[in-house]
Amino acid sequence: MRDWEGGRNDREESRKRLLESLSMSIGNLGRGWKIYRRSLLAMLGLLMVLSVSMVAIFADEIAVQHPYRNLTDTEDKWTLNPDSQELPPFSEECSLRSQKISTDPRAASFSETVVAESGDKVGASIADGYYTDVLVVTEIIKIEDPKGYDQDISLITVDPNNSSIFVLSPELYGNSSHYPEVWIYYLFENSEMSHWWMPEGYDTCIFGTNKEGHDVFSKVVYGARVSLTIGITVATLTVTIGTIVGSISGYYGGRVDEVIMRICDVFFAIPGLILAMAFVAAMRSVSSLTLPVWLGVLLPVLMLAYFLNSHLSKTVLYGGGRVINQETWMQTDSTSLDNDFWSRWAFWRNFSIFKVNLNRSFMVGLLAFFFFVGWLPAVAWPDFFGISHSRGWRLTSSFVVIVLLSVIVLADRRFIQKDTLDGALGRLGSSFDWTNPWRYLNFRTVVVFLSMAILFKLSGNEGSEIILIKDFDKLWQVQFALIFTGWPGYARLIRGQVLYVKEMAFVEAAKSVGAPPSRIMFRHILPNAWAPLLVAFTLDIGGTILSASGLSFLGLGAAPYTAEWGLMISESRVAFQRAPHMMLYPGLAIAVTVLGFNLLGDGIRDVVDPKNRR
Amino acid sequence: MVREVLEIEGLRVHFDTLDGPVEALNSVDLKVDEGQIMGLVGESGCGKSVTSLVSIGLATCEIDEGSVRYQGEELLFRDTPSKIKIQQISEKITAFGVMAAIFSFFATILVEPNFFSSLFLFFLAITSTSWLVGFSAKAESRKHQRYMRWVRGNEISMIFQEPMSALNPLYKVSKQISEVMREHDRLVEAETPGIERIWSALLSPFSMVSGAFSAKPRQSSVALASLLFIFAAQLSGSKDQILDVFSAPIKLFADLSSWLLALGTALAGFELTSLFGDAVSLTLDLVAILLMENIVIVGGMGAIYGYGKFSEDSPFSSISLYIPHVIAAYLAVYMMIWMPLSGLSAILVICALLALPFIIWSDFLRLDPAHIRQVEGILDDVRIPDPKSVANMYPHELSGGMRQRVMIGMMMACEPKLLIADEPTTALDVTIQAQILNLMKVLRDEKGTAILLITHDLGVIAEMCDDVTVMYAGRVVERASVREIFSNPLHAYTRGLIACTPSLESERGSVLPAIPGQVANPSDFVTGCRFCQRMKREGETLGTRPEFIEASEGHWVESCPICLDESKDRWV
Repeated sequence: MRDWEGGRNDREESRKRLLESLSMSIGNLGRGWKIYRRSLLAMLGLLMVLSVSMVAIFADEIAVQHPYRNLTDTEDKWTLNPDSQELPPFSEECSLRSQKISTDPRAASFSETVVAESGDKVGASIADGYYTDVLVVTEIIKIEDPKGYDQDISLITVDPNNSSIFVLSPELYGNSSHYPEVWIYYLFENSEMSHWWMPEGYDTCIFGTNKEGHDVFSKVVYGARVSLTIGITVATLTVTIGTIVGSISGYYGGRVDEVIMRICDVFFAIPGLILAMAFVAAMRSVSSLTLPVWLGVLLPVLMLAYFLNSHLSKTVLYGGGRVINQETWMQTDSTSLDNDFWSRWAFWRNFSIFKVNLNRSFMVGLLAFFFFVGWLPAVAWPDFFGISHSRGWRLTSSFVVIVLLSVIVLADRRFIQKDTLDGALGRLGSSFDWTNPWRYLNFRTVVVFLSMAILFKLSGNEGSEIILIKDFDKLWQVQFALIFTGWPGYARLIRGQVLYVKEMAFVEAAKSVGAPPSRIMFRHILPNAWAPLLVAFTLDIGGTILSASGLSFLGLGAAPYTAEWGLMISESRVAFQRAPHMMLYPGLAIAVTVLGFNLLGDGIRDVVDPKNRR
Repeated sequence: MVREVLEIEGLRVHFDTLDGPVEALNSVDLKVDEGQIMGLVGESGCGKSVTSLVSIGLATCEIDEGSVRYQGEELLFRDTPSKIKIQQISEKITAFGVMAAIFSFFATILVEPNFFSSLFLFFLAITSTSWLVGFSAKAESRKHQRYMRWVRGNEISMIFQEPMSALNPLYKVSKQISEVMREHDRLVEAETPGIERIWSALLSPFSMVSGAFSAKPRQSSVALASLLFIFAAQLSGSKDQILDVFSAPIKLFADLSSWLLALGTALAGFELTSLFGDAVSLTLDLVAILLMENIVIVGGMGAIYGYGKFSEDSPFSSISLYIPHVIAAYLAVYMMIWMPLSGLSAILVICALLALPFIIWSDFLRLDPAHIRQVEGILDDVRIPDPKSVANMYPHELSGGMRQRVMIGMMMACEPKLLIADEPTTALDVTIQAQILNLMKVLRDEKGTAILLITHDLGVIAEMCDDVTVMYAGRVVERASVREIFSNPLHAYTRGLIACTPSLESERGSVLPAIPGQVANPSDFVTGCRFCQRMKREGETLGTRPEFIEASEGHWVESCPICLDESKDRWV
């Protein structure tokens, strides 16, 4: 047995090798980048995708107009702006603003000097709260009373010292024949709205404004967030689901394939958009997505226990290490093959988490039992463990959790790493029967279960549910509906590819050396089948953005006036001939995004193709 | 003591086709002894490959009777009829239940929520219950499948005909070979324990930074200083002032570049190509932005006016090579100060999170040096020159012979007792063929692996094998040692195969004899002598099934009197 000092040289040697191989992998990255860089189009695509995502990240900085944002809500609200409706790009009128000024001295809001202010804008941080931009007045256009009649412009003047303050003349507020309020129209400049990269004087509406008077540029910039989120989330999840289902269907074939493909047929039989509509409508009452606590506790514990078992079965059975050298393995192998094999599998067979000498289907059965009957303990969960929310109890239970987990750590050290514990720990350790692995493992499983239960209970989720998504708003519903209707297409695509690849000789070869189905499916078949998937995925990001906008158009997607590209296009449909810019820029944004993702996908496909290695 | 590695007895299998069951094998008997090379000869469609696939449990056919024993252990598995019945019924109910559940789910959405949702739950319960029943009824069969997976690769391996496609094109040779060994627990203990590798992978960015410092101290300290400066600027609260200071050089650069443009066009050989006609107003505040190499893009006010390039002989051309990098670095620092701290930290965190799996994956899943050495040893065993570089190659970088060697190495990695070689040299040219066959023989001598060699080529058989089994139309017609077969072939089919082998001694222009007709379609197989069925000798066909008898010591033959009679052979 090597001691620490003796093993030092070996460790240093192997660490050096690891560093070498790491630098090699960095070299591979560099090589991939070289291949990618060869294609101008791919570079263009990368540039497009990067710029769109940068715009999405820095929307708050880039946009000149900002939505009214309630910080407790996730939705951006764009308020109506009557001053500048359907203005063409670079219009002078974009910097026109009307402001209501109280002229009644008795009113609470009255003041002789009024600050020229913009509408609501969210602060730079939550602590800032809401604030309004102070505007620099360049010219007063007109003053109107509430009836719409023009008043004398000289009634209100701009303070010569500070050009963002209106000074009301006494004639205006001392005269009882005037209305208690007037509207003042003026041209302004706003330092918050100008950027160094914009031409002087053209800050406000380079893309024009829309029917509601919102700056199209700002809405396009904010729309990048919404559209990218929807597109990428939905495409990723549909691809994941479709890939798993499709590869299972293609690989196993037979009745499994039949059933899955008929289910897909059912989906194809109903138009996707209509199904998505129905799904959104059916989800109206769902306000948050939750998981029963017992499921949230049980599943991780089961997974943990399962993997732990496989780990321990190796470490415990072979005396704290894997098969060390081939010679000893060969000896045991050739002398008593049958015994060796059966002892291995007999160990597995007897080795259940709940110490029941049945096969593994028992575990599955237990899970199913919990699925149908498990609601009872879930409902009675707080009483079941008697957990209250008092501080003392929390402290105690945290302490218990810490103690339990440290016991596990010590036990592992004692049992798996075969350390000797001395002192009080040693006495504590010798009081427990460490020699029986099953007893130990059961103890361990129970301990992990208990501590996880306590931790879950303390993690702030109310009742018997774990909240996965709290604000299950309209956009979430749209995303769910699109995922729900989108996966069968991918399943079909992948199934066809898998059917093609699984007949190849290397799959047969992998089978003939004893690879399990999961490895064949996910290591051998899928990586060879995913090239068309990549293209479909990148194309589908654009398609998803379009379908989400279609749902929005039908009133089932994003709320009206949301900065969403598809919604902006459908809203500007009526005014296409007189104000084409309203449709042009969001359309260009979609085009750039979709094109960028497509070119990116093509470039990545070139890189990952090992035939480009030469 | 000679022990039988593989023993097939009375194997009868059929394929289920649309036209009903088609019998592919009919009472096949085959024995392979330890360390023996057994040849399996026959034309295409005689059932050679099916036999080999059945024996490793990969055939898709139904097995009617017979047994396949590996060192006395039965490899075929049959469930009890009641369990099969249960499985069938549960499969049907599950399929029905899934469909019904899906339909009721749709009805929940589209028609009426309350009733159909409870119907959905009902069908879900039915489905899962019946699936569970079927699952537990298959316990024995699953256990046997696990056993067979262990046998395959570990005890019996198979080499395929097409070395070109039998290796996965996506993985390196070292990966593919070590996968097999990992599957069967043959890898030696890793030099670095897994947890240590994860830690070193996680810490690798730091070690890379320290490495960069030792390699290029000046540049690294500049980079580190600018990073520190960025964070200091972000956290100090006087970001705007710093940005003002920062933008002064940018403005200066803009002025300079307008001068540069004016001077450059005149003196320094700067060739401006305008994008929007020739009317470029030099009075505008021009900014020269870098792109690639020494192309300078000239723009201002957010618009691009044109791009230009220093001519080769210009003194500025060498300087301008570095300008873009400097500008890019400067702009990056400017950007990182300009963006809000939340955005910067978000980007950093996201980048780190995205990189983390890759770091762990790239390092942890990488083969340990010890494992790579093991793979190199195996490649060395199969006589591959320079195993170090070959281990690091993808299959498409190898030639056909090399691929077949790698394939053999992969199959021999776990040192199986039996290697089934399904026409291993058919796709290779003659010299490589000889090398591969020689290699297999040498491996047999070194490791004592028995080989079941399936081939059409009697030359290969004569060269390689100890014993030969001749198959025709799903039956074994003759079995003897190779010397006996070639000197004293008893069955007409064997004689036919030998007769139609071309030899160098035959005269130029002489007609090569061939067995008339072809192997019958399996659906047309008769119960009697099947070679008689093919030969169509008038009035002379054995209607009953000929027995498989031992004609002389170790020489077994199917005793059809007509086929045994040498005078009745007729070749075309």
